[in-house]
Amino acid sequence: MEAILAAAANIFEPSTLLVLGIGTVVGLFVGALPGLSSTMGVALCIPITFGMDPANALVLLGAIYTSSVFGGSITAILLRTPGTDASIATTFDGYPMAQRGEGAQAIGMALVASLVGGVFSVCVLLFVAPPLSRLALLFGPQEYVYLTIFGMISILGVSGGNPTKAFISAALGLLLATVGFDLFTGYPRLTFGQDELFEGVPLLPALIGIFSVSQAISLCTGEADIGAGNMIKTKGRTLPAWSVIRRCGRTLFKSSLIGSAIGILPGAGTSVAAFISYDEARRRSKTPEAFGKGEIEGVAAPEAANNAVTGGSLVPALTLGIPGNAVTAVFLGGLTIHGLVPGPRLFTDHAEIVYTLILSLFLANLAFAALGLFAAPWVARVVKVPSAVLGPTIIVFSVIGSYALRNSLFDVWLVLGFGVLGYFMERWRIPGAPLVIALVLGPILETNLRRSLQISGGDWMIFFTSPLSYAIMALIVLTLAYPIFARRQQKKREQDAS
Amino acid sequence: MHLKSSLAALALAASSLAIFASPSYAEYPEKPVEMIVPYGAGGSTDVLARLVAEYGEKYLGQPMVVVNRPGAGGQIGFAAIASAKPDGYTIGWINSGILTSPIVRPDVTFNIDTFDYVANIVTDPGVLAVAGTSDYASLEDFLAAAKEKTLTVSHEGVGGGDHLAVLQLESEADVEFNLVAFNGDAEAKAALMGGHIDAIEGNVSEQVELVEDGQLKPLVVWDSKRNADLPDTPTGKELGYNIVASSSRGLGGPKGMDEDALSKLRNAMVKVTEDPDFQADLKKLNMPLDVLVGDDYRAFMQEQDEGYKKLWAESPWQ
Repeated sequence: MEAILAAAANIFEPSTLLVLGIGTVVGLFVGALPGLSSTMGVALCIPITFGMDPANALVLLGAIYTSSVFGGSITAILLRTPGTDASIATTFDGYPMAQRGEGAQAIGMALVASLVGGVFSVCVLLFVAPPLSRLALLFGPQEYVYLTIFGMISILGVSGGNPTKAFISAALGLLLATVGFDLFTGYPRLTFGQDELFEGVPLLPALIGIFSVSQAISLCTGEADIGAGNMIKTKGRTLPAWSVIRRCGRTLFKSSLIGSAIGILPGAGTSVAAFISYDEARRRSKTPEAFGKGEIEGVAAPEAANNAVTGGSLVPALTLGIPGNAVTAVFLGGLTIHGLVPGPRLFTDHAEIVYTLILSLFLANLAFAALGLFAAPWVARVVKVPSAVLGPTIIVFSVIGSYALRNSLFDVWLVLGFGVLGYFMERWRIPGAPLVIALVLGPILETNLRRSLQISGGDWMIFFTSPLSYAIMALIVLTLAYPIFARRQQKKREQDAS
Repeated sequence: MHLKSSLAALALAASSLAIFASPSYAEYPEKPVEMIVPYGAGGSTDVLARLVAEYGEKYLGQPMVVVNRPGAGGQIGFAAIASAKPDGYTIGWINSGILTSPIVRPDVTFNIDTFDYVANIVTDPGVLAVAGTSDYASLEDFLAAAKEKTLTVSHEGVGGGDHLAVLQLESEADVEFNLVAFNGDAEAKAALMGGHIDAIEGNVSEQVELVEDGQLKPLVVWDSKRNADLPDTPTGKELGYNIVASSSRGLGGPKGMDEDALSKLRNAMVKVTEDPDFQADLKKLNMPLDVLVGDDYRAFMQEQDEGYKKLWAESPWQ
């Protein structure tokens, strides 16, 4: 408790507040620009922290981390360009809202949801970190298999009403996910001799191509019009009404819980949390058919979840020294540079600095919320930019962003190729989201499946041994069976009524 | 229209880089030196490169510019270094990947002989560890148990340094493990501590903290001398295994580099590694300094190359 108070005093030092502000702004830009990831943002700032005192250094890194996750959502909503894979699910309903001229509201909801998710997960980190981290270790490769399958169920939710076409799209995604160096045999697969494909189809060019370049092509050809011919007024206030927040309350809470829980698991990933939360919200909704067409709850769910991952992923990082994802791995590097050794003793030996970090994450959440609130009405006007200007601009940014990722022209062709693919898929009414979800989750599923079988020596019974496996299996079955059950209930009610 | 013009701009930028690398007649270095990192920004090689670049400028007299050329497990960057103009203005970071890639893929455009060696900077020895709660107290215990039942050992991908170290141990100790590939040390450590596997093969710097914390128990360090961070852990040689495995990172350039430039680069790197501030920063990053200059560096790579070629001849890993 003493440490927490001392940490609170630290936080309100002018220099700390300044660092917090800078980190938040940098993070927002890093998240919003398609060529920069949260990992790169944190990594590139670590050398800058060499000369800082440990508390300020961690505040800077923490602020960049949390606000970059939110930054990616702004472009996901307005331009259908997710800055990172964490914001993929945000495009599903955020972009349709922006097209209706409700971009500011979508950002407002994203902001509230991010704040709720972020603060929730920081509380988890603050109060129950050490016991939870032991729990996370119970997850072996076989449990990750079930967890990823659980995430894949969300494909059904973004099928656009045509399961066959969604299946085609997802199958294509899974096929693309098999490209690249095979960890288990040492052979490159389906690379066709292209060294650039050695590490697999790079995710961001695929994302940007399918989601945003395809849309930009439609804008150029005049088929699509963001903001319905630019006539529509960007209407209403940014912050969602209290009644809307209350309606989404359960989703916000549940998504925060899912995000924090999945964040704790090393090797699951932010996007898994966002997909599961989105699907959960859609399934539980009274109007599931509104999802994918601009339902505000569909923005709330993935946004609360992806920001909840930030605190969750720091749980195993701080308590065990095992990072929950790539960003926290870099983050850990930053910790050790300042002489802070992650592990159970971190909370006792360096309590003051750890609590300064945790409290600063609270403040960082508030800071990006405030900044976002200020900026949303302005950036939402992007829908007023004529399509003939906006379309090419998006393509230019996509090209530059994808080039910047690896300094590789190959990725530029890839982003354009995926753009054309996405454009035709849209024309043929094949949803692009299943492809992307399969591309993200495919490798996690495959490596864990094969890893489980390596451990068991090829015995498939490994998937039927642990109680934890059974628990996730039960969740999967319930999730799949629920719609059938609900439909039957409804039919019965209708029959009773007539 | 915008698309075309931006592509044109990119092409222009690419060609201006080519002009940049034109030969010079004044005293080296008269312009910034490009340092290729074959991995992405933020990775451990990248962090090291940026640190060396910062100190390098002081001793070289020109800025050192980090250029990330990631892809194909480093092969794209290695090829770029090997095929650069040997005027001393393009060097880059190399590791044991320049030895193992040509063995597996004879079509790559580099091998041990296509580089000039500036200096090795960091060597992080390999280590085999079990969970802190494990019953195995020594490598001997572990190997004895491996003859009785199947033990699962992690590595980070077929053909990587740690995978080859475990294969060498299997062959020298005449045991067979159940080898499981992981995507990185974090997932492998979590699986070990959760009791899903029996041992992990990794590098010292990734494990020191968990060892101090009692979560991991190192059985053997694959080095010729005891490690300063793990002074109680025996080396492979002490236990009778002629296995040296490590993850080393150093600077190299294309074969046939300008003599004057090469010696100036070597001198600058020696001065960088002698700088106490640099040493302190490196220690913070948990990277063990291991300076080998010029021919010593080449000999160090040569020894590893022979080990890998022998292993490949006896039991190819693909």
